Amino acid sequence: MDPLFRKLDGAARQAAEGDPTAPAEVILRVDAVPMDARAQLEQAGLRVHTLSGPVATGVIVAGQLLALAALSFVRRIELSRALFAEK
Amino acid sequence: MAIDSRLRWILEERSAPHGALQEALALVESPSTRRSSSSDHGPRKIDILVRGTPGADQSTFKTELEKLNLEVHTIVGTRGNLTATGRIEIDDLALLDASSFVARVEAPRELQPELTVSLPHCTATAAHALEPSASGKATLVGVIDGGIDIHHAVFRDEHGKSRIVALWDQMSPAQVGGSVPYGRVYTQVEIDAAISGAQLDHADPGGHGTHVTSIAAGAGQRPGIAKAASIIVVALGGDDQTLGRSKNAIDAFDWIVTEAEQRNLPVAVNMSLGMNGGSHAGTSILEAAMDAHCRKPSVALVKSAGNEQEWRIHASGTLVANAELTLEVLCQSGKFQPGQLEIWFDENDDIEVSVQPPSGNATAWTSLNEMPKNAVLAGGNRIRIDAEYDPEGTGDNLINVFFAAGGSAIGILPGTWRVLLRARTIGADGRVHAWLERTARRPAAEQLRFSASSYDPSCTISIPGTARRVITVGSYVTTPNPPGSALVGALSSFSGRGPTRFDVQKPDLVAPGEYIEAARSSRSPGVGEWISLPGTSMAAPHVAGAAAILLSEKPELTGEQVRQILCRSARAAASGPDSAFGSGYLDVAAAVALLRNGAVTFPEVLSTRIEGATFQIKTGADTTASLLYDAHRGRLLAGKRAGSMPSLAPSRTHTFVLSALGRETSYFEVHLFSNGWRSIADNHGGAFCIVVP
Repeated sequence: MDPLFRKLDGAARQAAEGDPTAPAEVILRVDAVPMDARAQLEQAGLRVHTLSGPVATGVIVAGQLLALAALSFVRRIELSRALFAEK
Repeated sequence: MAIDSRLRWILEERSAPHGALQEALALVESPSTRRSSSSDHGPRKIDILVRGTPGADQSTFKTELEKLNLEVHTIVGTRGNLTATGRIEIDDLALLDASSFVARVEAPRELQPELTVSLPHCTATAAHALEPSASGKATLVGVIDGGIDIHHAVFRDEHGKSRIVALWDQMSPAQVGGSVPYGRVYTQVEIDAAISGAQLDHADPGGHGTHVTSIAAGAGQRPGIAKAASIIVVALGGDDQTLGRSKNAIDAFDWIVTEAEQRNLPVAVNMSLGMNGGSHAGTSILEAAMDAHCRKPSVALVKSAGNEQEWRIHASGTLVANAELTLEVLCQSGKFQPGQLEIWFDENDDIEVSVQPPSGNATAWTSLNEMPKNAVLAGGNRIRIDAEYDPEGTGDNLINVFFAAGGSAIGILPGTWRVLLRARTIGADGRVHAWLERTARRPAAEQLRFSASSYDPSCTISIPGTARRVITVGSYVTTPNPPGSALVGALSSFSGRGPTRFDVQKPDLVAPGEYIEAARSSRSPGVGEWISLPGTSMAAPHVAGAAAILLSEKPELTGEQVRQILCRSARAAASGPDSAFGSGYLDVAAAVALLRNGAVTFPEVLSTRIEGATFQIKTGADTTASLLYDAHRGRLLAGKRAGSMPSLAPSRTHTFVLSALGRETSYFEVHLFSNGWRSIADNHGGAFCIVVP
């Protein structure tokens, strides 16, 4: 398995194997975040929505997921999941 | 002077012309609330409340009050904390005023209809009645939910203005030049204009957010817990079941925290939503995002424990050599959405998997290094088996089994699916935990469940409820529906249970959640201004309101500290602290009392120092300490740690020599204890590290 693939969760892997132009909402676990992290994330194709502490979020086309995974400070990438009301 | 000012006025007017006394009496009773007693003849009597001075027991207190001509109706409390109710002639009030057994005499006040019975149950009503009132003044209650009915009266102040300071509607068309990356923010000015009739394109058709917010922070006729707080809302959107997605929740919490910081206000945020995916160890990305903010002063996050208890979404077992472990997954007819099963196990255990559909052949055994593996089964159903290596940094691996209909007209094959596991090698304990991800449940057949033989009723807290610093809330019954169908005080049958996968206690506490009458969104199903609903969704906002009240009392508290105060002040359930009730029932007044009495003394870390293999920590007052270490590939995780080094002698300086552990690298954090309060020194969340030369 491609080592970069290992950074993706199961759903993100399926997205990466599918239509490369499909948009994917993602959440990222980041470590040792560099000063220019936002710029690096944007350069890898992520439209950053939040970059805060150990976490980043944004939207990216599926074909760029492995480019995002190639960033050394990105530890893990998950596809956003549905949340449910608890009533 | 023991008697309150209203009674003093009545005393002063008792010999004045009749009309003046009636005016004074109108302050303490109205025709609708006036009671008559069998002894009501002769001189005019009124109802009163009496608080005793310290020292007397119940019997002595009652005797002394009766000597003063009080017709005693009730006495509650214990020695030193006694309160009596009763009825007395106006002239005899002066006797009470002079008694050494009486600390305070008050006229009763009219009560307004509240959130049915839940506010008195969790002593929020008592907290409101304190002087000064504990009701969340100068705080924000943040709500991340489906939306809010901005027009509902409970969200307005006494002047008719909105108490909602900002609303981020994530589903609105983006505003050019807006302050958020998507959707749009409505300001308080825009919301006020909408109340006056201007167009504002936001509604809460599901009604969930309106109901939840009114419990946490409603005001007016039926107040909620933090009735004096301001409100900030993020509308995630969604339908009648789903509420946004995990990414949107992270964006929402970050935005609320930033807004609160800019307004220089503490904030208690409520999230009555969740999902089942994740290791249930508090280490998912969503949970890391929440925990990171709850380390800060002035930020607390409250989360519902989830209603998964009766849905059979968790299974567990232990793999042993040369034996298969079977997880039976039940699929009802009519399931078309994809399903997902997550199987978590220690990375030192090597596992292979086979999937047996209800009919047809099982898939071949698939080892970790053969994954991902896709298979098309009889009837066109598709299965994908995929492995993730240490995805949450816990030293645990994950196998996902995805179920898909594959275009079949019958959906996913109904019947019992068997997911077979066997160990290639057992390098750890062979322990396996599995969860079925949640799906929209209308119809209910869409939800996969474990069979009765595979199901494990523990560990059903929804995510992000297992996060360390998030305050996770279960539900108990205050108003059974139908009446008599459950005992008041019983845990709701649906309420999610802990512990976490690493055996950390969750939920943190329980609050009223069955049934709660609160505000109804005008765009949601039903009629009228109020609606009664059950769920941990309704329990969590009771605690969020309580958290706002504590932050109002002491804004510099962190979310973790608020969590400790609420747990410590909770009334223990009969079963004691456990994974069903957590620390017990929410007690808002007791939590406030802890703060106001100066009983909350979190240890303060003054400095830390690493020198070679020695770690030294200094505190502002005497503490005991425990260094918790874990060299599990360099991660330190609550519940999954190698061990601890205690330092039990109370001191302001604790020194730990880690070379005694006999290994090269140790990651650790230090827990400090003072009077039962705990502070954690963990290098700002990253853990300390010592490399022994």
